[in-house]
Amino acid sequence: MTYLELSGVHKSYGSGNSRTEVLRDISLKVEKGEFIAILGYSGCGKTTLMSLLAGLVMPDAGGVIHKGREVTGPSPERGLVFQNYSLLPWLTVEQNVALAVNHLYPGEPARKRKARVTDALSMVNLSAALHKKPGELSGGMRQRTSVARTLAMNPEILLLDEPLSALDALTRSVIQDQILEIRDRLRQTIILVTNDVDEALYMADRILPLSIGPGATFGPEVIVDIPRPRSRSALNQDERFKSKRKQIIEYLLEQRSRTDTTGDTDPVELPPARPTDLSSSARSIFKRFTSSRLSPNV
Amino acid sequence: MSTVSTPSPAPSTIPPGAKRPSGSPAWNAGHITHALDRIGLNYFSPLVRLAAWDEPGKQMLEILRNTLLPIIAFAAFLAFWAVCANRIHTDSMRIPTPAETWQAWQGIVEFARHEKQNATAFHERMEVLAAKQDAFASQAATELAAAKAAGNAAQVETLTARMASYRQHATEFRKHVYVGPPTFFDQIRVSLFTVIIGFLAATIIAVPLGILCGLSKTFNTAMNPIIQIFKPVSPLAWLPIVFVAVTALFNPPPGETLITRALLISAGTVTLCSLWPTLINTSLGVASIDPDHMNVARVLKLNWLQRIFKVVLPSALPLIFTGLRLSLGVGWMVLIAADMLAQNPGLGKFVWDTFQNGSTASMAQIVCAVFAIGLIGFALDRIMLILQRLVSFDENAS
Repeated sequence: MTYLELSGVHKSYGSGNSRTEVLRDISLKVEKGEFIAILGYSGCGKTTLMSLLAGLVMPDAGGVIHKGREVTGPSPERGLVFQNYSLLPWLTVEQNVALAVNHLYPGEPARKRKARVTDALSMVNLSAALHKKPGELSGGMRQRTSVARTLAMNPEILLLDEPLSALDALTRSVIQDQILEIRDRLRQTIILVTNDVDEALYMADRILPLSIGPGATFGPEVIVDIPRPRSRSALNQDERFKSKRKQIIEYLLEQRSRTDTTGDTDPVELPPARPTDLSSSARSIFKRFTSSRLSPNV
Repeated sequence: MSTVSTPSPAPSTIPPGAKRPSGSPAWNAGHITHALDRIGLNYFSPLVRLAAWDEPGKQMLEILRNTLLPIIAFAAFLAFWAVCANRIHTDSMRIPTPAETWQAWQGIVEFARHEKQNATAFHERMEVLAAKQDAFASQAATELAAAKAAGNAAQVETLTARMASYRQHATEFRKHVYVGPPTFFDQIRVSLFTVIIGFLAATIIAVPLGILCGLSKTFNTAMNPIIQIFKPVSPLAWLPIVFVAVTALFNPPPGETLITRALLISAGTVTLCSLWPTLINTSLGVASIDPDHMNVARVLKLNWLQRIFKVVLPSALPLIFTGLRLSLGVGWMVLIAADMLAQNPGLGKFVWDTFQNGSTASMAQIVCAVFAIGLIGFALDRIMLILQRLVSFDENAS
């Protein structure tokens, strides 16, 4: 039995004429402990895919099966780290994490719950910022708080929805390493959605590129069999890494050129933006206005 | 510079007017200015920063600008007022000049002081009478003890009764309340009490309704016509309806009570007029909650009540308080009109009664009331602003 499976998932939004298909026939099998990266352009349906895995939205056809049972709603077993952190701004870092812990482990003594909160926060090196509000934190610290909140739920699967896309490159690499460290320790299954090819290659066991929507589906998967721990500097010299990188980028570029030529999106008609010459008299403006009305191609 | 105490090792090395190097100030003006900013008193920030000798030239200029400009504007207003006062008049009445208004204010204060003296004198007189009765009572008590020792049953009975009646007289004297004409400050107190009752009632009605409107589109659609129709109704139109409702439903015991019919009519009118801003802002705050926050609640599997108290309400709180602030402003404005018509002994009644007196002196008292109403409204608004800032959070931080 596969640990986590997406089988023939379709998802559309809207209804009637404005109905757009986001995901078409998505199938994926994930083994326990695997690190999967899903790679794609922004707006191609990655977040929808994550929401499906988390159980926040339901597929129109097909299904998500976790440990042999269909996913029918959100569950702390599948911890989702939101793209935009989603911290509650009126709570401190500690309270944000404690909200999750107190709710999921209401029967435990306060001391033990407190330990869960501090453990989760120390895993992401945030013990110094316990009493700060999200507004006082940098983007990286907010995302680490968000990761800590999810870790405190003790999930079997970590769903990372472009968690690092809003961060600068240096902070990114720090948090990437932190996530890998946590994975070494806790051995969760991780599904990471990203638009960064290098990030996917550095972190994942398997990469699934997503085609450009509407109706996005998986392209050919790439298995990253580079042994761990991987070193950033060594990777750049590694021939396997280079060829895989080339393979993925070629697929993604091909996707883009395909949509560019087929013209999937309607070209938007722009309004005429010729400035009126205010130095001329009102009368000539009136003339030009009427003449341009008569000849629309001016 | 000598006025600034500082433990920094060599204060004399800092040239006057220079920014003190960070780390050396004896105390952090930043904390205080930040706090002042939060409670909407940033007017005083330059003073604090000047005391900390932080860019003193700039602070001086700021103080000058913040203080001088309003003073000039106010002086111009006074001049305009004085000119108008001498020109605009009817046969019997005239707009008072600023000087006359000031005199009227002193008269109001003097009258209040006088009334307070009267009240103290009255209570002192009552206390003297009560003490006399107490003395009679204790005399009766000693006689009673003697009678008991002598075993004179009839005398014991009469003395007990007499003692009880003396005691009762004493307590009655002490209970007497001085009933003089209400002073201006009594009327302010009544007005504040009324507006607070009306405002609290409005809050109790509007916040839950607003939450329901924000949570449920169906409920909001159902409520929308009612809200839109009743929101613009003037307090003067509500008053007769409230009058009937209060008179029918509220029968206070005779005698002096804290809550009178007039007060309830006033407060009810305030409630009906001031609940709308809170209702609308609450429903807006609840409806515009970040969908990501709701997703967090779903992932954590919070139940309905937990969602409301842990996510929805805290997130809507800043807008709820914006609504409350607007409501209190509306309530205070409405109250004056309601007081006039309901004859609730507050500021509105003061204005109306004084107007009926019909002399230039009473017009000056009315102008005093106008200033008092404005200043109190301003103070109420500041209090609500402080509360609003206390519950607000950085919106961009989610």
